[in-house]
Amino acid sequence: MTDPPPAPLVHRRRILWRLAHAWRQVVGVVVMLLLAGLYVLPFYWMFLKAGRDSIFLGYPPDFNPFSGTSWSNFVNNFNTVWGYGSGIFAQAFSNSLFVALSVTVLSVGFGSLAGYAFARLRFPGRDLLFYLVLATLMIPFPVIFISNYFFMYQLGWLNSYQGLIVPQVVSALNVFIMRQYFLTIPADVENAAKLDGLRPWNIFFRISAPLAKPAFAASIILTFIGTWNNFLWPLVVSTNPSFWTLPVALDFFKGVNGTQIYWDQMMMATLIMVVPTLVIYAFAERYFIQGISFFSVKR
Amino acid sequence: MRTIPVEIRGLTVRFGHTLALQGLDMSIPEGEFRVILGPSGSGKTTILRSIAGLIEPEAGSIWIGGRDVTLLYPSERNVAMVFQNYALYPHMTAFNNIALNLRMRHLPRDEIDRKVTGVAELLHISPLLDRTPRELSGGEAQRVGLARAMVRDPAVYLMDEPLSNLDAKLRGEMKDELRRFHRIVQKTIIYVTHDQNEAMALGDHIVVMDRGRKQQEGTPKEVYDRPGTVFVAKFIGSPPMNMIPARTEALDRPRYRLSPEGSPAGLVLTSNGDPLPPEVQLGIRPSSIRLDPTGPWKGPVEYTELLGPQIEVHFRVGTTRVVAILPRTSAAEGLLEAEARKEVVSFAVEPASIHVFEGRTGEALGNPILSLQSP
Amino acid sequence: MTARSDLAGAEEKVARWWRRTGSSARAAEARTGYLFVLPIIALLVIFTLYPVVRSFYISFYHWDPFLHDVYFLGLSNYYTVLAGPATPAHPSFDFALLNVLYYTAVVVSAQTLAAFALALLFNSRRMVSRVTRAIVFIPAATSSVAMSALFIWIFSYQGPVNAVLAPLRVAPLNWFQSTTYAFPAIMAMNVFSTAPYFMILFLAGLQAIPTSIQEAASLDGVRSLWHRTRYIYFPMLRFTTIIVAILGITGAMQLFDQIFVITGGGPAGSTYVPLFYIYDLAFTAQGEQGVAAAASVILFIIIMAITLTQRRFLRELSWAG
Repeated sequence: MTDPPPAPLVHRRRILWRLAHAWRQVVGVVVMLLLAGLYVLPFYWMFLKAGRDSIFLGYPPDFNPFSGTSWSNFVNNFNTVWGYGSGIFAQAFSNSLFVALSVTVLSVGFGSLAGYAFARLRFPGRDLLFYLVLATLMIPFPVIFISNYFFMYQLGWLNSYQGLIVPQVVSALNVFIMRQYFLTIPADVENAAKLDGLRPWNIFFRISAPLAKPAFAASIILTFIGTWNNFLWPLVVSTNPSFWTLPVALDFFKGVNGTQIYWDQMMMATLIMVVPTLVIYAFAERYFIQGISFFSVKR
Repeated sequence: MRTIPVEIRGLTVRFGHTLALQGLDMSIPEGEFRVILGPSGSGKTTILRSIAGLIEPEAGSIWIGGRDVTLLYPSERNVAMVFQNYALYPHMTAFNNIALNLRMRHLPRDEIDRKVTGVAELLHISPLLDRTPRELSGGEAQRVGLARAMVRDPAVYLMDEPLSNLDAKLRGEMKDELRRFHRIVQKTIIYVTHDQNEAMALGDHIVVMDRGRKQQEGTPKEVYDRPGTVFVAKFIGSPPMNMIPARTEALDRPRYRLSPEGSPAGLVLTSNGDPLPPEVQLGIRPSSIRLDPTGPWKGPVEYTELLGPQIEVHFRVGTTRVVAILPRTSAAEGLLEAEARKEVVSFAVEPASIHVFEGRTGEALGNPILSLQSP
Repeated sequence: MTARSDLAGAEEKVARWWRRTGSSARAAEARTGYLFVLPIIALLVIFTLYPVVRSFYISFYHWDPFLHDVYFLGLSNYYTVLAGPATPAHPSFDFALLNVLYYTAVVVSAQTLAAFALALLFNSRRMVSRVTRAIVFIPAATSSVAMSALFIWIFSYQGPVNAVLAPLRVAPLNWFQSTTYAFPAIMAMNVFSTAPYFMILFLAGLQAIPTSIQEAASLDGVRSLWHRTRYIYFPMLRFTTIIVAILGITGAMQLFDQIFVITGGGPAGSTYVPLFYIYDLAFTAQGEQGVAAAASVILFIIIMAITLTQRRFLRELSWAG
């Protein structure tokens, strides 16, 4: 059988189609790169400015890394900020670290226990309690924080680590992430363990929790970054600078010199605050995103 | 009227480093119910998706009705597809699912209504038109899928395992439904499946695929009666054809000594005159084996199973296990007890029904055996 | 499946199991269950539910425990919040509420649209797209206070916004000190920072659309991006869109950090919002805590009302439950 003659029309279309396709791809990539540049810009400038010796902004803004940004300025600025006052900022850094770590350990620990119980263990009133947890997701912070402030006052927890940590441990979100994940683990794995004579407590620690590593990773990262960045509660509960966390200290830093902002020091302070989350994000982007995507999954 | 054949020429598709299809040629005349049969990974679905335009092939071309459609957009090829998981738009009613394509072609509203209700009537789904996919059963959803394809009156229907998500009973009903559907539309249907029963029941013509290559093409009868390769022989028929590797040694032509692998005793074979290679595989359908105390094949019984009207018996011949399906005679029923004793029984096979394949390439050599005896 | 039917099914299973299983194994499992949920439930009751009740309580009192000055007022605090005029110390609550509603309307619609567009753009598994997407997403992991610090520069007199607008002959401007432009600048900043966050939700939704649906659409001739969005993506992402809207609205109504850090509610009250009003009365004014509590209850009721109407909307619309 002989080939039918090639239709010239189709060939022309083929070329046009390919061109259009390639063009769309190129436009897409260019737009992506432009957006990435746009989003990097503030952070790039933060790094530049943190390594300069000028407290002033220039006009027009200068993005040239070779004019005035130097390692020695960077170190100088770091030392100035880190040792500011009697080490307020260094204190805030260690406070932030301690608070965020404590909240993460407690919140993810309790959240995973509860998430597991809601997913797998059977006890009267389970669903009622789960609805209760569900309901707290809808309660906005403003209606809580005034009473909690007085509660802290009554407990004598104002300006204390307990006061910073304990109220932040309540996280319905961690319970959800955990419950949802435990539901996806085949129940037969646990049934086999049950037949082997393991108690529910042991099944959780030896079988189910190790299988839920991705959910733990997502919870840990979301909680740590969330607590590290939290502003309003630390602002309310710690009036004494020795109990400030980084966001509170950074806000103070902005106003420390009256109307004139010392941009090099301000940006160095911002950098100190932002870098830990950036590092965690860079290493665990996948889990961070999985934790957030959790909302769009139907439940 | 101009006919609309489908031609595939030298189609090669590659996914990363794996070749999904290798230089495939196929030609399907208009109005045929063509089944592409193969195990998963054989490239059968890739053929379908290439015809639909969902995959751009690396080489080769696809012609529909004498028009090269290789690089046309899927909706411009005048083909419609029915999916395994129905792929109905979950947010639209059955009516809108069927009508979407007509809307995209800017047909007037009353014409859309007329066409959709007409198709719905033909496929008996008129009462379902207001439902959303989640309110439909599997069978109903697949009927809506068929309607969505049919309403466009395409030249070619592509069906990707449309019955495999249905339960066994429904599958039987839908098979009849599909035959009726083909009678109504009288258009080319290219149907992909891994189920040989579906292929035998539905196809005018079957193409058997394996690892990106066409193994055999023919009517269901041809493919079953004269399998072209060992692969086809084993793939079609249930339980599959027994394959006994053996050596042949020429005595005085056309007589050969035949030694099944691992079997101490040889057999004497008379061929129809065709020369036999030194290594062969003998293909024997389980149903062509009968018990015969004087038969040339001997072996211990290893396993038996009562299938109702028939009895399945597993013998060992040399190192090969041979499955036989025997009618339920008293002799055969006696074997149900023979299993425990590993009793050695004799059986015979009609020589003309033994398929001979080349030992290494697996190519069919036909049925050249005239007689087979113990020496 | 909806949470409700899911739970109803689970409830039934629990009941069946309860009847079947021996009482000692059952008791052991139940005991472990209570033990596991106890810490989080206790914390939740003490630090979330009880405070809500207590805020209601406080809102009916003149509340100044530091000076032991507490007495019942009835609804007078609510009257002060709703009808109270602006004072030299702070603008009125209804002014703040109007501000935040305006903010919410603009920011939620803009960020939802932007997030949807970003999701369409970044919905690909190629390397470029993965890397650039990760970069665009950085603000979601960054503190609002740090973002505010950076944006003070971006919208400052010497900042890049003025530099970009200069060739267009727009006179440079100190955005955050302008009563006209401070609030829009904060809106722009928050759309910039939160759109990528919501993009992730849309992306997860897009990637959950089965390939075969996309293929069926291309065979049906749903071809251009506009048609795909109109007939496939948007309707199939309705659930996600409403979640994004709910999260967006609840977030926007509680706007505080950026206002506190950047403008302090100014200039001239132009960025004054309810949470700032509440904070002001509770922590900078003297003896106004009862009024602050009343304001927080009102804000709570408004947010709940918006969320609940949307939930209903969601139930009616959801096609896959």
